[in-house]
Amino acid sequence: MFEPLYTPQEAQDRRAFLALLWAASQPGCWQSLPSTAPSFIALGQALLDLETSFYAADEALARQLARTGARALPPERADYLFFPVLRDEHLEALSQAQRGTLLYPDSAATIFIGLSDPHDEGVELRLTLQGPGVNGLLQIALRGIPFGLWTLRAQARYPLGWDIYFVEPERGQVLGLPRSTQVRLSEAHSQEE
Amino acid sequence: MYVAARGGEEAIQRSEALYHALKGPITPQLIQGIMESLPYLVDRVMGEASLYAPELAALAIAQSGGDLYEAVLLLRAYRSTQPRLGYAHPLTTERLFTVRRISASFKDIPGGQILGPSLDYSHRILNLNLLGDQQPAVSEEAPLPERPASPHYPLVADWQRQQGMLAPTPTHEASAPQDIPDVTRDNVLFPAPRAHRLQALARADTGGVLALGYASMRGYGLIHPTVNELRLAYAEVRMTHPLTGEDFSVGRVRVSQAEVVSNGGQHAPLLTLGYAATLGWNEVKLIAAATLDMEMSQPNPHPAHTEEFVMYHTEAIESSGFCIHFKLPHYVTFASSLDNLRKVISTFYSADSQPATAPAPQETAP
Amino acid sequence: MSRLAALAKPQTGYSYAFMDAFAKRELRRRMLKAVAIPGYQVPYASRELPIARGWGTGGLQATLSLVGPETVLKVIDQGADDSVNAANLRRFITRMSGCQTTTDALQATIIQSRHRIPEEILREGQILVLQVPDPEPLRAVQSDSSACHHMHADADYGQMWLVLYEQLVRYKRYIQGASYPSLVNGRYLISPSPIPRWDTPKLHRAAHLTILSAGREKRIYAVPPYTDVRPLEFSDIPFQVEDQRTWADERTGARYKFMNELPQADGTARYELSDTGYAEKLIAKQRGQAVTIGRTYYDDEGNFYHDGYLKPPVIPEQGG
Repeated sequence: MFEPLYTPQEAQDRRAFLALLWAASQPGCWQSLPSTAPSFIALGQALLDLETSFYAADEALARQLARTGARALPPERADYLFFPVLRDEHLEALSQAQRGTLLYPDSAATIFIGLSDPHDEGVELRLTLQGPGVNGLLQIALRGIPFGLWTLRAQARYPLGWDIYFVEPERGQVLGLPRSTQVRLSEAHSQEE
Repeated sequence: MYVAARGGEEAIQRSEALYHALKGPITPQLIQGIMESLPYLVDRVMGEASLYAPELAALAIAQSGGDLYEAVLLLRAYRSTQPRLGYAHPLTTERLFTVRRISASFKDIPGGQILGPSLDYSHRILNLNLLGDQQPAVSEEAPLPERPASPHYPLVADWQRQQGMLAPTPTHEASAPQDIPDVTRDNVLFPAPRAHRLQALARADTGGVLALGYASMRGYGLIHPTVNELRLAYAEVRMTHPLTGEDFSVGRVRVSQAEVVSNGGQHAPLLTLGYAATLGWNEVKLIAAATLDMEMSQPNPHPAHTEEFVMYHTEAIESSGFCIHFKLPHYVTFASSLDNLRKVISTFYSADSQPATAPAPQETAP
Repeated sequence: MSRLAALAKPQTGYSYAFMDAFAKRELRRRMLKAVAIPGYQVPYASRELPIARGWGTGGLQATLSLVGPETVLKVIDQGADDSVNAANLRRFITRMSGCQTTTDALQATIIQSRHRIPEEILREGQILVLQVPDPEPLRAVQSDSSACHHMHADADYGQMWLVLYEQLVRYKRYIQGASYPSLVNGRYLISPSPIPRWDTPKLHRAAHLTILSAGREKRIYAVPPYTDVRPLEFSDIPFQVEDQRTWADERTGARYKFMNELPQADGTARYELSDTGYAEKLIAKQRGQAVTIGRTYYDDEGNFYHDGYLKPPVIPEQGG
């Protein structure tokens, strides 16, 4: 009998998937992505192929993701949306992403949002998380996300809604915020003010 | 031992070895022989496995000792390991290299009734002479005709459409290949897209389709089918080369298709059409499947002819696998039921009397 | 005519973990959705595997999508590591992935199981994969799966309450055996696979991740860590686990763990622990060997580790 080969690609795809699986299972906890590829590429390769579709807000990233065979579609039809950074001007595209239906809540979009450098200026938001995967309450802080994201996220009622993953490409980390997580914005302040 | 302490793995290996010891060895000649001498068996296995690979099908038949459900499973499990590299171009009936094309609807049809290869009108007599050393009669060689027959034939249904007996072919925009529903990759929901239904019938268990189709024909169905057209053919599989962009032929596969019509169907008083096609040549399955296709489209089909019933219960690998899974130990679930049974007995039955008022427990789920 | 073997490239074997990259990616995508919508049955394109359908192919596909060389795998059937079916699945997974195996629930990173959850409390980071024959808890009240799908969409579980009520009227107790229907995260009703009622509470706010996968029925669903799982029960008639309080394991004397009842020729019965990995460790400990035995979901007095989750039984009156 042959020896099954654990190829580098296989290893990278699996590690990226496991990071996402634990990110979804333990919302609010950072998970490590494989270091063998830029974070967004590793995520794309782990999830995308010619049976899926994506939208990328960044031209260069869109070209790289297209190599997986997945189809580039507008945000209202894509299964996976990638925002290497999320600024106010992206909210219009984001707002169109599928939230699923009561019959098929799994048809909702999965959204990847890049967080800029943690030392970047911008608003820091403190979030209190509750729900499946969270043992009690969990407080986290995220920086560099437009406030509008939370308004949009709150528009869908569970079990509809987006499964959001925040990505820190610099550190190669991912944090999950599935639709099942209840988010309370406990405190917001801007460093600029 | 059934639940063998530490012996599990060894028991499995010995059991498998014994199975193979009780049948003959598998040789390249055997596989070649199965492929050449038993094409209808090979076709049936390939059709149910939805994998066109005669040599692998012959190997699967040999390796399973002829247990067809095992052979289909072997092929399907192999299929799971193969990536989807591309999509072939759509085929039309007119482009098929047809070797047999008959219609029961008319005495003669445009292009003629082509009997082709068939045992339909043979005498089913075992040729015992072949058991001994005697040479087979030479006359079985088919004589060559003076000129070759046409490889292409028009559809009987097209003539009927021209006459207004059949509803026109529905027109819709061509789908991207990725958008065509695929029953092997999608979640099956009801009402199912027609693609799912036809794909499920194409890979369904021959015996299962026959049983349900026969039930319809015998009278549980609403309609009496007429075989409008039955076709055995070779199809050329064409693709666009992903790099050069040129069209090329991947090879030829054996395919068969059947159309049945009824004037008692949903389009009455027009004719209603049922359709089925599969990889390989398998006439009995297709006539039954086309009948079921028609039944499933009726407004209120018999419960055994609804889409969900037909598609779930004719799935060769799921039905056979689930059936034999009952050989596995179930003592934990059984113990859980016994616990309830004992409680009910102690509640309803005192020590010395037998009031027997408690009906047999029925659980809400298996 | 060319033979296939001549045309094909040489057989170099199968992909890592048997399934090709497409199949694994698909299953992984569905698994992420399943975790994000606890208890919702995510449809997936279940592939045929070299194991008969209905013999754990759903669990197997989940495990094969998760497994890696560093995985420590435990496979059990009816609680037993050494049953032929568990041995067969374990043999296949290790052959295809090169992972390590164990019979110790504490050592395992992935546990694939048919019909049982181990007795020792699983911890964060462990994954329990349960094989599911029928994922649909509503099957008994609605055999049409599309209708069931609509009922889940509407969280319309009234008929299930009716069934429980009828059971109480006729038998003065719930008579559901294994696969006791349970509400996950207050939203979706699941069949927790045919685990005994003894194991159902172990899913409630568990530290580990549970993946439930039905290969034949092509559905995958999940109970993430720290997620509410409540068996259906009326507030005045509590759900009850199997009553085995008088049974003790004949080799170790252990009690208040799920037991196999072994009928004897003289009309009596003997009892043994269903969880063979746990039994093995108890025996080793009694022989003085160094072994780590974890805290169990039920202690030696039968108390469940989440205080107050299981309520004392209401004893029905005698009579019929």
